[in-house]
Amino acid sequence: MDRREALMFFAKSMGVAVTLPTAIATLTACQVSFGKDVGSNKYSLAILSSKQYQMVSGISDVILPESEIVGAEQLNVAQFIDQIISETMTSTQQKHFIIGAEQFERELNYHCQQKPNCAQFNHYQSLVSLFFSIPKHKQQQIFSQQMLAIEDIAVKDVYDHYLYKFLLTTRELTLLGYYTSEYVGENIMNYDPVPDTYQPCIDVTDVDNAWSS
Amino acid sequence: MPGDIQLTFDAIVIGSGMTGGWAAKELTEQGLKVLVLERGRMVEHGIDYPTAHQDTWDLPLHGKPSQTDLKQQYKQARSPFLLNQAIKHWFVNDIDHPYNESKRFDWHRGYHVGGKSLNWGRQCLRLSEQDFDANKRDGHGVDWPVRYQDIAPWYDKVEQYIGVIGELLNLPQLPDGKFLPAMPLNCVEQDFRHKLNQAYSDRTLTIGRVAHLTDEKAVDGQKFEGRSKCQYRNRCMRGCPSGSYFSSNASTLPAAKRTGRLTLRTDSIVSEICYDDDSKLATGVKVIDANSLEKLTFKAQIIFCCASTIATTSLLLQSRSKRFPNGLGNDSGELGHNLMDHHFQIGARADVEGFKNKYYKGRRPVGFHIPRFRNLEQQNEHHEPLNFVRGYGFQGYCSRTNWQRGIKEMSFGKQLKESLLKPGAWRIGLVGFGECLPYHDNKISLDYQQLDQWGLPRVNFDCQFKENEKRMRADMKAQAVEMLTNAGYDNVTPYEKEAVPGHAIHEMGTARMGHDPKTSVVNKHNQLHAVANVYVTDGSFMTSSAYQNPSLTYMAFTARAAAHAVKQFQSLGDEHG
Repeated sequence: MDRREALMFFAKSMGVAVTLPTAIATLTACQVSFGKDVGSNKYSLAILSSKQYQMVSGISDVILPESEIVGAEQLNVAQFIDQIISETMTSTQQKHFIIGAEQFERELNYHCQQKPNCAQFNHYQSLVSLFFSIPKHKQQQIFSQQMLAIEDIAVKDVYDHYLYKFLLTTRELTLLGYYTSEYVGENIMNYDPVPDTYQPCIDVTDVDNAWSS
Repeated sequence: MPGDIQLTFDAIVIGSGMTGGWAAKELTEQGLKVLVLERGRMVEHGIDYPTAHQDTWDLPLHGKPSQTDLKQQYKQARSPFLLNQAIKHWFVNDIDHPYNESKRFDWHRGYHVGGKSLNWGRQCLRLSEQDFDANKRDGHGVDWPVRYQDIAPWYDKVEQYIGVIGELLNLPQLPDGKFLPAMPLNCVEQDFRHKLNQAYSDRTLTIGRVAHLTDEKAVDGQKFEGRSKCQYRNRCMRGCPSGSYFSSNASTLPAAKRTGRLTLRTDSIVSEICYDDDSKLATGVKVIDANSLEKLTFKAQIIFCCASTIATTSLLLQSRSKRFPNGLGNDSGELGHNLMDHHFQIGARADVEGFKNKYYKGRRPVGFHIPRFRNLEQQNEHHEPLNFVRGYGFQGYCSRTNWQRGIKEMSFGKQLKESLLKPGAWRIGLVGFGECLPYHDNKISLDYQQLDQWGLPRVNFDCQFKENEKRMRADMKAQAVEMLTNAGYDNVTPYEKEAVPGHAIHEMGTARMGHDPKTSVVNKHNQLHAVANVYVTDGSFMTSSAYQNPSLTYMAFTARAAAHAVKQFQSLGDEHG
């Protein structure tokens, strides 16, 4: 598949209405900026490339953004995700995640070229919205497809399969990293490591947030 | 010959887990000098529980097993939760401890002092009169030579010592015990119990009967030495520093140690029980030091086999002699046969609308229980006939969902983040635990062509659930769905995973108890029929599995057998002198 074909393929597979000349024009118009230097926080990436790390971080920031309560990016959840992928996934799972990440990177480049002046967060926001804000039945189809072996995926769905492998894995690990982080576990949720008592029926208003896991 | 190692004892106990601890306690407290041999490492109560106080974020990978773990413990990983970073160290490395499977059998093992008593499910359910009578009644297996009234006082003794919570129900199929105050049901569990009672006359719901302390003193007024009340952390399987649930490490082994008559030797793999043709008794055991490979022989007048079902049976099969060419005490040919385990991982789940303003405080370490309601003796002929014999019970859970409810969907943003900080909807689940019949062709054997690093044969499993279990499972699933539906809960969804023997970690029956030496391995006192000073009191002796979690029964029979053994020992002493 040459570049022209690839562009048409991913555009069609994403349901993006785009003419080929437009796609080519926008693809060459801008470069995504990955400003954060991973090395500066003295963390050596285990498996992700610097660009992939930035993407995972950016997506995590959209999934669980900062508000009055800390967000996923502030907790550096991407670092946790890099470790989890490196140490808990099989080489095949890692490979599929990375293929998906590479496809997402192309999507990001394409999107950035379409909107060269918008802030980086907005690129991630737009793309996460594009892929996740879909009807429930479509979501269920995608989750079902994610359970299949790659050999059992129809050729027309392979691109989506990898892309969603990356996005859904990043989303799940963002939740895991965030809600089981020390900061959230001890400061946001109800942290009570030694309850010393069991009260079977209290008013939920007595505790507000859920018990820390 | 090592110069300063004591080699002769009154009794040797092989294994330091659930039953080994009880044998050690009972025998030492009744005056015997006891050697406990543990093939694994030392685990000191309260000291060697490395993850006991760790929060999720303290654990490597927040608890998830690494690929390295999964490669080393690839068979233990068949129950994925066993490899959580909080508890993986309680389970063996499968590369170091291989076994063979003619048919898949999930053999979960922990080689350390305390064995599986450190990470058991803690359910303590008595077998009933109809369980001890079942084989005789429907012709499966052989008859138990023991009835409920024989073992009831020993259930009393064990329950009071280990501390078991529960409600008195007066059910013939699940006798009441000597209970500590029950842990209370939460709002939705109370609702389900009420609805069950309305919809059914033959079933009820109660809190699980588990070996946890809810009082400082036992029913008989005795203190639980060195143990204190449950703190509702629900981190039991990591080892409990306050000894709030029963383990050998927290309870029976310290009691044995306090007598001054206990010697505990770790890293000691028993390779053979030595038999003397003249006396027709065992004289002791041969031991391989797991680390140095040094070989030792220890002598005693009484041997208690408490190494766990498969390990004990393997040891007996390995202990071949001219008199017993097929394994010690194996005149019947039944040694290694009749392997059973409970079948489970089948049931249903549902969402519970309402109760949104209700929650709970504390992590209660037990769910609820629905006792057996199928094929009961007290049921009259109006009950529809079923296409299976025996029965099952349900263990259940009911709680508000946590942040993980957000995984299987695609929302994102501030609202997602903040909503997942709140308790989610209530969810209820039922898991059936069913009886497995004893089948002669469900068995283990030894493969002498493949030896482990200590030169001992590998165990081979050839075991499967059969038609009765399959028919029972269909009913388990249907009844779980029906009960949740009748309760009016939403999105009732059945579930069923493949039933694999071993998965429930209740393996039992391979040295069964019976009246007749021609058809069974041990007698009603847990003695090998043909070798009176060898007692088998772990799960090997079980003649039928019933549906109940078995550890309480193992402990009760161990205490009873120990009392018998002490009498035997004393009479031997009288004879000699």
